[in-house]
Amino acid sequence: MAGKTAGAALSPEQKAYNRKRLWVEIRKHWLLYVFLLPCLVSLIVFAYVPMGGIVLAFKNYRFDLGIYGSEWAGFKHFKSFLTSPEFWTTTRNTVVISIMKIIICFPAPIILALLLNEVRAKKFKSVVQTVSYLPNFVSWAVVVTLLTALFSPYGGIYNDIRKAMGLDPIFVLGEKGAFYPLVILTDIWKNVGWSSIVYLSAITGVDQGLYEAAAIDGANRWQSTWHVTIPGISTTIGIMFIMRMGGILGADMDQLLLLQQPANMQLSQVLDTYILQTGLRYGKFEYATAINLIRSIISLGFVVITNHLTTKYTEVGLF
Amino acid sequence: MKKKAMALLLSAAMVASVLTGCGSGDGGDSSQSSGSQGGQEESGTPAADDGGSADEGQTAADDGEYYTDEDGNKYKKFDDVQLKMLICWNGGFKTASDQYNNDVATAIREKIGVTVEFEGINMSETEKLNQMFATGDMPDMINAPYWGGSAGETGVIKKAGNEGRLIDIKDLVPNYPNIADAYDIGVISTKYLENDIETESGARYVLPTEVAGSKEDIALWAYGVFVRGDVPEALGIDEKSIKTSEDLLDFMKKARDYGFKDINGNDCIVATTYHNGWSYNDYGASFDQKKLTNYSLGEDGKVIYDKLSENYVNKQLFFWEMVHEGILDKECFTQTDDRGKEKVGNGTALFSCAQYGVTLDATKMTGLYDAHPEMRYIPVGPLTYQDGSPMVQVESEGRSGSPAIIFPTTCTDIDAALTWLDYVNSKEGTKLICYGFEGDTYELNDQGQPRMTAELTERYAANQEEVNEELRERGIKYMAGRTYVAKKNNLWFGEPGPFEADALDPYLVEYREMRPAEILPGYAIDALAPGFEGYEEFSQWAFDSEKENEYVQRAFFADTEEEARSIIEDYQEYLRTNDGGKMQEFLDYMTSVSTSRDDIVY
Repeated sequence: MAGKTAGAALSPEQKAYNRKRLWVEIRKHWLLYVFLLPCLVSLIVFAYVPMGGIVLAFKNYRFDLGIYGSEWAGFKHFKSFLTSPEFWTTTRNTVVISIMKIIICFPAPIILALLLNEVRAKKFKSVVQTVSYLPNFVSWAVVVTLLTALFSPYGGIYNDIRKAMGLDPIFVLGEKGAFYPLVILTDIWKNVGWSSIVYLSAITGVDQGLYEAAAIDGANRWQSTWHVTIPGISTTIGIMFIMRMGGILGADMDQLLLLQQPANMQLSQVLDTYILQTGLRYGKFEYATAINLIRSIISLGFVVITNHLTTKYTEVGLF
Repeated sequence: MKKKAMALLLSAAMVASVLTGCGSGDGGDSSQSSGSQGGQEESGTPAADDGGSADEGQTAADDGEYYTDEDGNKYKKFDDVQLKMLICWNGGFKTASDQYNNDVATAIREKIGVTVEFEGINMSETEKLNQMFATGDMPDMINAPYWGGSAGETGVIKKAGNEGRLIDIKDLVPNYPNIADAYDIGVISTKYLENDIETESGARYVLPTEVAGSKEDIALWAYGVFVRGDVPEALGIDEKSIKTSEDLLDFMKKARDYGFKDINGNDCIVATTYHNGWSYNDYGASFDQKKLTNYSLGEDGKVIYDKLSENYVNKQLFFWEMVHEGILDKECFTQTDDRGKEKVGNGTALFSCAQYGVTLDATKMTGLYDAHPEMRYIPVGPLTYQDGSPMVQVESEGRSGSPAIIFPTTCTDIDAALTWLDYVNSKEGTKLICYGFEGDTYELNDQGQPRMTAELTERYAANQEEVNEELRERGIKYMAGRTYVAKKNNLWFGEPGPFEADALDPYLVEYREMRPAEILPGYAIDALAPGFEGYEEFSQWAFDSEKENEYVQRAFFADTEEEARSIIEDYQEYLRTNDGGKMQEFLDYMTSVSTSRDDIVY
């Protein structure tokens, strides 16, 4: 996670020296590399090995023949999905929700981190941090159950207040118009605190001398935030943004699946929920794999393009 | 150095734990099995305790290799075979906490040497079946929904059979006399046998269960609409006079406007359902006709698919009005059974639907009638059919879809599995799993029929749940529901199940008489549908109930009636035009075959 450095091409001798140097460093810090091992094994076992299953997207799956033994189907499942009415509905819904999340939810932890950075009372700061982290550990199933109880038209506190004010109760979770606000607000509530940790740690890495220099130049707190803190964490923001773009076709499945109601199905059926439905509920494993592969390829494209743009304009890139 | 060693150890442990997830995990059963056997040695047998178990009957005999029951049926005796049976029905399956050492399991094991342990699920049935067949991680037996056709669970099971995941039991079942009648016409219908049980290769993979082995044993489900007793009284309406869905809606609007409260003093919901909207259709029952299928014969002699008719639109618009008017519970389409039962059990819902027994159970859970006898839910109507005739429980000659038991290829001992089913479906076995032990839990009446003891019957009338729990712990009165093949309880014992003759809720008895079963003789026209070329692919989208629900439930929440109508008509348009207008080709085919037999019924 560092900015790219442009430089002249290395000579073969220099390359060989660097390689040797790398092994020397690895041997020197071997214990640290051992710590890395569980993550590496986990990545290989759960992320790379299952990739062999992608072949299922090109097969007519049979229970007895398994993924590799089933007959080839070519691009049948891709064609079938790309020409189905569900393609446009689910893709549109996914992109709309993801873009809304990027515009509204992505900056939220950055803002929280900047605000927390300005808090001087240490106890208050740690209380706010703890309170904001906690929702991250509550599963979406519990969040939606809480929402159901809060907004229920039959005994929910929200509707009790409405009734006390002389208003008619409404079924908030079933209102089409309430769907997007619920998705965004619950996402912020659940994730803002936890996501702010990475920005807070980036802020601690900003050179304190820059703040002192800014103060000498007469900058107030807002100006030092704008001209020192934000540029200081721009690399982190850039990296997080690139990674977020990779998930643009992967709107939070747990959240959306649980918030689905008959009234909002036209908005809430996203690629992930559709994949789950066709794959597990209908048993069309190959079709669901094809959809997921299409999604992954498009997501990779987004990452590459975003990486290219951020590298070009901000000198921040993943690769 | 110590730190380094510790770090290495921790890292190794973490790597090992990551890799553990990849293991097959086969070792669990053996330890459980040995543990269970150890327990068995310590526990006394029920036969020794009560001196009255079935194996001590005058004719029952055990020669070591075979066990002969009191009716002379002979069963092979196995050497302590333990089998697992998955009850693939969303919502779980309550069993005895010790499934190996309870009294009934021990008694069965002593006779035939086989023990079956059950496991329930709390997820979609189709999802679970797909998961099992794809991974190959399957139990010895599975009981799952098998409603016929090619969608949902039936589709998955048929695929599993065709793709080598299930054992062909066609030539095996006739060797087990107590379950051999599972395929008899009358027990199941010709349509079911020809279209859903017999496969093209001639194999049979499913054993239909929960079907009536005699006319007396046809289960009366008692579906309908039920109202809290104090509602018609307060409104001065005779609930029995409500015969149409329109009358019902007026009744419900008056109930809504009255301002009833539940037992906690909260506002009431007018009408609710149980899990995922089950079964809201009961409120619109008078839009229906007395039929077996979703097809009708038009005046021009052409076959009509009911979901393309104006009546279908009107029925859905009726539900839209129910939602729009604040009558039908807006949460009901996504709620759980527990949530639905809570609403009924607390008297929060003024009207309920589905099976009357479920509503009664919900009120028993909260003891609603103890504190508020006036809130007893009573039947409305019953509603009549569209033509004004009284509503009945329509049945074909034999069931056309049913729960079924299938045997995955991983079944460790198919002979033992079928022997166990054979035994529990015998008269002696049924008596044992339903009634328990003579002199202990039941006594014989003067006609020689088992009746639960007076003490248990009295307690059951007062607290059904408590007695059920107590019996369940001994292995009594819970297995039969998912293991009987062709039920003959009424024929043999003069009642459908324990306590039913003496302690069944009199309101339920009365309502069952109002909603009797009626067999419509003939050959259901939808049995001819699979002859249509490309039927399998066609039926997957044309009869996809999930797709239908997606449209109609969206329509229920539309802002205006016009919008709701437009959504429903969109669904009809989808049916008419999808796949190049194949639906019309299909209906033309159905019209052409509708005269191929002279006993066609719709």
